[in-house]
Amino acid sequence: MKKQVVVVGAGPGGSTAAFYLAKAGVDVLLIDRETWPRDKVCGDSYLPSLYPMFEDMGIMEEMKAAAACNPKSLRIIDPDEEYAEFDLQPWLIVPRRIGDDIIRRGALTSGADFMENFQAEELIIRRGVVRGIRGIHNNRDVEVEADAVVIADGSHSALARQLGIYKEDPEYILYAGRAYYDGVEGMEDGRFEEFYTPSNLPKPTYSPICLTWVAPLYQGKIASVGITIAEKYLRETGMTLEGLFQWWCENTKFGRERMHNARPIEKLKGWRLPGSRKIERNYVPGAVVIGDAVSSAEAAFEYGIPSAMIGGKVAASFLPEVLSSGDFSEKKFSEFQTLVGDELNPGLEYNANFRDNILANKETMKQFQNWAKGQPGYPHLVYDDSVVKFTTQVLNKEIVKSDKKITQ
Amino acid sequence: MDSVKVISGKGREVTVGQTAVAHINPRNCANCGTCREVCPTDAISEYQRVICRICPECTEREAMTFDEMYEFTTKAACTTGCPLGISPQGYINLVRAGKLDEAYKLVWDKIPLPSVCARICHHPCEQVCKRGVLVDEPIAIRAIKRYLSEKTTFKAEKYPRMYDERIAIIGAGPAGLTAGHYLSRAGYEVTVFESAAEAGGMLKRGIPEFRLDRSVVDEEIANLENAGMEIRLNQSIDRHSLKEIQREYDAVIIAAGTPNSKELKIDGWRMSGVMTAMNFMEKVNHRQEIMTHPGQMFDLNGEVVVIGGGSVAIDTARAALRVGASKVAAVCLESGENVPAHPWELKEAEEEGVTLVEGRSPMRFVGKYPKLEGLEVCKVTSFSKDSSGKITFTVDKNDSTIIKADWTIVAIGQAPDPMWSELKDDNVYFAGDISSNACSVIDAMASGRKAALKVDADFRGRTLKDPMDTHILHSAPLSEKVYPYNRRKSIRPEIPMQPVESRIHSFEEVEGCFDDEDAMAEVLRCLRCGYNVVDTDKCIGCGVCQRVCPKGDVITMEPVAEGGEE
Repeated sequence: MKKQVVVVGAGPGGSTAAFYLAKAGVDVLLIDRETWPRDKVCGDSYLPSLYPMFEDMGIMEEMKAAAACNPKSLRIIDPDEEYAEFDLQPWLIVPRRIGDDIIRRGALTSGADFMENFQAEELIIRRGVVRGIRGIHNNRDVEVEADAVVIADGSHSALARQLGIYKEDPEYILYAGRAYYDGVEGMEDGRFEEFYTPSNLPKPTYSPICLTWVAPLYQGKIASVGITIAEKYLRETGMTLEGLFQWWCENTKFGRERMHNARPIEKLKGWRLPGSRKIERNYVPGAVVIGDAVSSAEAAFEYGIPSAMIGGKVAASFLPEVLSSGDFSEKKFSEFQTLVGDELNPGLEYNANFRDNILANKETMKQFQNWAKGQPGYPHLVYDDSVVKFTTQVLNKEIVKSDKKITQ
Repeated sequence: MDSVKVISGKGREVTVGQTAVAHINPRNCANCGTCREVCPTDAISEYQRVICRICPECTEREAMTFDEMYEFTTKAACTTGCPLGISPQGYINLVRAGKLDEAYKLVWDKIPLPSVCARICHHPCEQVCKRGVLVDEPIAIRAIKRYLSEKTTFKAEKYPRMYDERIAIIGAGPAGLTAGHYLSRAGYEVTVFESAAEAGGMLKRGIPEFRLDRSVVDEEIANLENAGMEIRLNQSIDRHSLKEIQREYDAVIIAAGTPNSKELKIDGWRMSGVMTAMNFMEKVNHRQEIMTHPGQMFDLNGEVVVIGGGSVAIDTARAALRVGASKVAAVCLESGENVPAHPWELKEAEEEGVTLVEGRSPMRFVGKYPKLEGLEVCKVTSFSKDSSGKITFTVDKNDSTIIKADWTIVAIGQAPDPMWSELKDDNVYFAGDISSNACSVIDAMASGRKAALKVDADFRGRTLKDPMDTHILHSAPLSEKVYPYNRRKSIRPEIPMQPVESRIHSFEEVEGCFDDEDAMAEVLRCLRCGYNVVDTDKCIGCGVCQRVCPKGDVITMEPVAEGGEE
């Protein structure tokens, strides 16, 4: 089989790339290892920065209709179980099984071909240039020759590993678990709750990312409950992901309050969430890598989908130019890193600063909360503005909220 | 130019200039271990990839903590699971690469009877297969070997004779044949003396045909003879003839096995319906009453009770069904997980209608002499087995029942011929069941292999160096981590089995063979946990590894730049 571009992975990132490529008149094949629709462990958030792309694909209305919740406030619960609340620009929570499938179907309307149950196993590389992929489709070896490949095979990316640009940083690789529960108590419709590492863990550790989250779905009839923790800190707890989650349910005030009558609708499922502070090498001649395959997001901040889709859109504007110029040099492809970096780095930098300056220790976090509570208009403070104000005014540090930010 | 210090066989240190080093591509390495074993400087070692097991519900097995996961990596692997040191990952991935002949050769190098193992090995490799322990079901390793053995027509070439020493082996069972195979491959002249009219030992006498087709054994033995081993049949060896053999040959390996079934001498053991397992299998294998009524077909009718719960007991029980028993029960002291037969044997026997009576001890044979009418059994109240295999148990004599039996078959273990135990000469070695408590075919072969290595080491004045003893698993770097999520979820194909209705009336093999499609689907399930790595400090760049690599696309020799490493 021969195609102009093969997009590996039909998640939001790959689908977006395939959509805009096909729209630009490129002969595209989108492949995915799963049988669609498929589920994914996630906080299920689709942020407003995605809406223009949803409009392009003609799925905005469908996404809105499928939303299980439109959260508009965030409650941050600190290690001592005190909390502060902030307003957010409302976004959509759509279970990924539904939301990702809407995106994929929307993407295919522009004319890309699609094959599922197709596991890409390795890239065909000739003279240092990627020329296609080898994989298994329905237990049969298949080769697809292509002028260029978009690698969007996600968090466990086999192809990025082949290229040696896959990351395994124990501080930035998070492991997450999610389950849908019935009978979770004390939630409020539209309020997303993030619980930070409790200070009473049996083997104390401190992870700067929220440990658990609770989000009400369908007017609070069910809840999306999850856990995220970086490899390094999970190892320090000496527990399994599931064990740590159980511990949180039973040994924290909020955990008990929320979960004591809760019944799981499905078991806790795990997933690997890669994160980074900056876009690093995300190309080789003939191929570009987007989304979780190159850890293009600080996933625990719920920005995984935007960074993947923005990466896909950038890839779709970059590749047609490469195809028509025929320039498959290292230099040409290195432009891709700059292009994606321009889009995503400001957001990543903002997150990294927020993480380092506020979340990385209990004291600054408490300081931030107390400061927020003393601000006029509390609790109706805008979250991002508050973060910027607090760091510049109180901590005397510069934290830039860029125009190109992918945050809200 | 770099140099490498090498310790020679005689303990001298030699410095060799390094012009090239071997590089193994971990993506392509099948982990067959061929290069590792031939490397003259032991520069190659096996690395095991970490299999990620952090996320709950990612696989069908329980998630782990990070510490457990990292510890698990080097605990066990299929490559260390086989008592004969075969690398299942190696031949499975050679099948995957379409190299069936190379895959068969890989197995044949380690065991002389691959097709036999493909049918009756109790596959300890599958017990430790990481896919089985961490993901879902183990790879059907034995079934792949079976597929291999049916798909390839392997003709052994004659091994070159390298040494003058001549070696005699007593017994052409799995242990004797394995010892002979290793020694004739090493270049010795080997003669095997077999007391029966055909070679194979327990493979022919003990294991019933529905598990192992006789023609398979014959073909394998023919291959061994082609490769240079001489087998002399109908050679019953007594003390006198053994002395002669000892004089004529440079070494004797006794692999005479345990041909005699132990008797159960409780009340009534001399009644006519009481048989031992060997006695019974002999009749079954010939289907004729040779001794008592020449020409008359051997048939069992009525109810049969087998005493014992091991593999032999289950085999005899299933054989009894096939020769006409109306009802078969197996009585054993053990219960639950302690029952020594393998779970799959029990399952197959149960499907065929054998009932297992667990936790009962036979007390006496009931009947009016010489007619057997039943077996009295008592409840076992406590049971324990120490590490040497010695059993202690207590019974409750008040809790006894009589099981109706027209025949009982005693399958409580085998014993060697006592004459061998007195032998203690320098040039006599022991192998197989006679030398150990382990009694599976694969264990017997492993002990044959050990004996052969020892003979070779003694003759050549080497210290015994067994690659299996120095085979250590190392932990691969995190960049090689395997995510089970990335490996396709696919169900282990069912191994074709003859339907129960037809199989209990025939001695045709019960277990079938994968077709091409299933075999391919199955080899694709391998997680490929292991790969080999060259230690560049030890590599002398000889290139032997590259020449022996059966896969071909794995090892490259890379020149070392002048002036050492960059």
